[in-house]
Amino acid sequence: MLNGILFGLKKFFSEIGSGDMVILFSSLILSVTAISGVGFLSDRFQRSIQEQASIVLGAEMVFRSGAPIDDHYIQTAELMDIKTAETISFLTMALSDGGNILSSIKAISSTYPLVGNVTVILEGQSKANLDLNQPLASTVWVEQKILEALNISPGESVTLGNKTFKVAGTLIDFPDRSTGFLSFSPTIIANDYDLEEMGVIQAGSRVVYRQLYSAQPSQLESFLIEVEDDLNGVQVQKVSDLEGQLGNSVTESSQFANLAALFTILITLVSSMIAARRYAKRHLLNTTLMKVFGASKKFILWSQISQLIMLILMATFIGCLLGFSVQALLESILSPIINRDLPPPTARPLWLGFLTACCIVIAACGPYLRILGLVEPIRLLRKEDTQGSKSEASIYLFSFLIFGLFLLFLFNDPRLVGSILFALLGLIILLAGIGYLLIFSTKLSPVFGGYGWLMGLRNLSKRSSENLLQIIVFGVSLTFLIVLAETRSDLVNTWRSSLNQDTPNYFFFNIQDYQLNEVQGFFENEMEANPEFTPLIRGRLIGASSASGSPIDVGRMMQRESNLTWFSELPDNNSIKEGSWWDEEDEQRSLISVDGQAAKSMGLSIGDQLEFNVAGENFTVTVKNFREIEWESFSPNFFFVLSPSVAKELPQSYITSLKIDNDSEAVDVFIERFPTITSVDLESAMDQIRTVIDSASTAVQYIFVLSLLAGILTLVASIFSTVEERNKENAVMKAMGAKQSDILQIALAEFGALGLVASITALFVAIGFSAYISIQIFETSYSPNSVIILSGLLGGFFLILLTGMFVVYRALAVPAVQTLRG
Amino acid sequence: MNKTILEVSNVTKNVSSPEGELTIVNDISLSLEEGVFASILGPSGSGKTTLLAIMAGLDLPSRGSVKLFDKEITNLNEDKRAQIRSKDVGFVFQSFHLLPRLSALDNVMMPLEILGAKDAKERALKALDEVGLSRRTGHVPHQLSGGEKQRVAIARAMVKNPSILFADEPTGNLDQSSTDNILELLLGINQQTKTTLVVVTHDHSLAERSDVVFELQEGKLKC
Repeated sequence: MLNGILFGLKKFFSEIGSGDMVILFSSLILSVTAISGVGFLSDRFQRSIQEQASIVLGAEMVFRSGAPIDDHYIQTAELMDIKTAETISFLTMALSDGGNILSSIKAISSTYPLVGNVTVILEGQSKANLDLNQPLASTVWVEQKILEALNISPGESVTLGNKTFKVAGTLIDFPDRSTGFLSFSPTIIANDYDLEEMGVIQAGSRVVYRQLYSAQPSQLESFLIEVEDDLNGVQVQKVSDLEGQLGNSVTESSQFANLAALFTILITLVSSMIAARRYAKRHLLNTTLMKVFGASKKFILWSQISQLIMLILMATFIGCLLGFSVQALLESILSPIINRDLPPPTARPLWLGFLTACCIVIAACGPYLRILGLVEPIRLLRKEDTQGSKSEASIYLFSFLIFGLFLLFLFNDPRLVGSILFALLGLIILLAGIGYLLIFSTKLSPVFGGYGWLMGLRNLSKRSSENLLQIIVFGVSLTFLIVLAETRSDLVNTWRSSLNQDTPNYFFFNIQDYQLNEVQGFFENEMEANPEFTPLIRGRLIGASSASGSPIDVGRMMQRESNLTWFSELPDNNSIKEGSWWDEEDEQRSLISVDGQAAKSMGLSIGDQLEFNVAGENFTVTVKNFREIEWESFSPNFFFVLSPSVAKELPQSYITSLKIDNDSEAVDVFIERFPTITSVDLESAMDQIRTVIDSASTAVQYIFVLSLLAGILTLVASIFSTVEERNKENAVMKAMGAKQSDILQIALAEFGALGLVASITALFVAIGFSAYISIQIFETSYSPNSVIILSGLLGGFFLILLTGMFVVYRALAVPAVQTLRG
Repeated sequence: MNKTILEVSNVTKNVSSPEGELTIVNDISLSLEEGVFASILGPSGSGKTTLLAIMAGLDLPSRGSVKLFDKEITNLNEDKRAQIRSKDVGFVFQSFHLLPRLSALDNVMMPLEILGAKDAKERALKALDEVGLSRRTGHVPHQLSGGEKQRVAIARAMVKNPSILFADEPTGNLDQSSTDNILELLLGINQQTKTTLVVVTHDHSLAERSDVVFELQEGKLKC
């Protein structure tokens, strides 16, 4: 064994320069780079998203309620060594001599925040402080927008309710920013000690009470089990609930990266198998000679295994280094999304890279090692040139199984792996079927074309198994590349279309019925805009009854006021998921349309009844349909939409949105003329989202380059795998008097037909795959991209044709006699 | 009288073919003494290469026995037979079978490296020197002529000083001048080192210079 290992290692560096080893080595490096690069990034993203989710909550778990939350939860938690804090938030007017502004007040306890930092520039300082917890009693920290509106500076006073506070600093940032009704108003952070003296919280005031908890997940779980039976009216928010909502584009770009890595591995597996086949063919003589000279099976096996282990280790090392560089590059591109330092990666991607290389080598080379082990030394005397008795089909089956096991390890989801393998098998069978038809058709006598074309097409059937394999290899690689290009383009387009140049950047609330015409006129005359006005009805869900008797859980919805609206027609960015939109027959009925996800969480069914209270009046409506809403669109979206007959008589205001140029002074004029209408500027938020989308798009394109490289490598490897045989054939033909142009014409016909069949088949299959991936995985719409489809078709066809022609052209430069002498 | 190095008794080799079972070698018995130069002569398809393979332990007979160095090799497994070949048997092929990516020196070193010999390089250089190729050690096969390739193959076969050298049509791919040179080289080895030489050939002139000739006709030894 030791002799075999030493022999193998000694020969490794003379072997590594051979064409097949270069392809095998490059394939391994590419796949390790892809899996480790994506692995490093996903690993760090995952951990970052968990941390960000904690910051959004200001804790690992939060109890939230519209009414004061009982203290005994805090006491129980503290007994269990869980850190706690409390916040109380509400809206009130902040007053000064210079003005007033509606502000969101956040009264915090001394232990706030549990996760993240409150960033404040204290009075008289220029640098931000990050290690503050709570303002001193009778002082507050105030956001810049409030200072500007009140015309005051830090050190001056602001009045909240009955108490006047000294502004101790400018509030820059804090965790658990609200996303509800409080979020439209700038924030003031106060000490909870001062709350009573402010005297602004009265019976019926809209207040959000939060209890914050921070500890290990297991401790929090135990705590939750302890108290969950008496959590009446208290909503529990956990980090895990928020992870999915955070960084949608980050999650989607990670998903794309995983998909690209998977396809890259698949493509590199194919190129590795081609290389392994060549490696085995080349080593046939080597191995047989070794046997003739007395090498044992073990000696041969270990000499080859040692070479492959060296290959795996070197590829893992180089691949992981490149992978780390790729993720560093992606991290820098994605930095606007991440907006903070990512935590360091774990060692998992390194192991994953190593495992990928092992899996590819075992899947691609394993069967050939066995063939080489079984080769009989007598074949040298018989002048045989076969690879042994093992059929190619059993080799591919073995590779397929090994790859399946690897995917199972990677995803730990037998159903998903089953689907991938089933789709792959289907693709191979389809390509094989079409390839077989092409090859079979060339056996029939063509009715057109000269000698070169006839010979070229006949060559397809002459090397039928080789050509069938090439059609499959070309087809699979091209399919994956087109699918990735299509998916990438679709994803980026969907992200971008959610925020195009005409997306509204201003929202206007609280437009009263009597102001409608005047506001409409202002927009038309001053801004040349004609926006739609959506009715807004403030109401509260107070009850529900099921038509079928099944339980309905509307507790969460009943805790807060809801924004209702009404429409005659289904809005553009909504679609019906279940039921139907109201028609003329429903004109007099009291109906409601509910967001599909909200309906699911409440356990609602079509025909159930909901009871609302609007301005003291109760009414009941029947659920007519469930809608799917594009929440990404910057249009007003509503959980509940009433039918016109029930809503028209209810007290309502209007909301509208429009795009206003940044340098326009019209908004200032509008605010001056309509002081009671609230305007919200979303430009900075949209800028941030635009940056996020651009970064995610760029990252996705870089990942795609890896797959593209793998695909090109596979196509080139596949064509070069037949180079020796083609050289011999060309030499014989030249010796028999064929002209160079004849040989080139034959190659043109052969590779042209191969390229055309593989590209067209790949194209159709890719469209199907892309649609499935876009709709099922990324949940976006799919429309074939004609540029990508045409580039895929032409790119694939010409790559196959030109590489093939290059191989043949190069062979023509070698004198026939040299090739024939071997 | 010299010691018997190889003894073949009633060896028959049958193979399956689309036309049914074919007998390639039919009930052959022969023996060779140490240091002889034996030729196996016969037309194409007469079974001479199969007989050579069976004698060297590269293939097993369907019936009969083969004793090499007094050891019955037909009941040994492949690895055990390989072990015998690794030390005491050399091979030369018609198509040379040099490894194309390795230099002449590396090709000659290979059998010694399989044995784990520490002085492989020195011995390989000496073997190449003995076949007149000391100035071609760094050349790869495609840089050598046919005669030179066969010299490298002979150096590779002789580098471990085998007791017996099997050669399958060693001059079959060579011109007359190279044939003469290779023939002289093989005869020289046989005479100087007393290595038993078994050569399969069509060439009657080569057979005439051997100590003993076995002529095969349709798998049978011609008397």
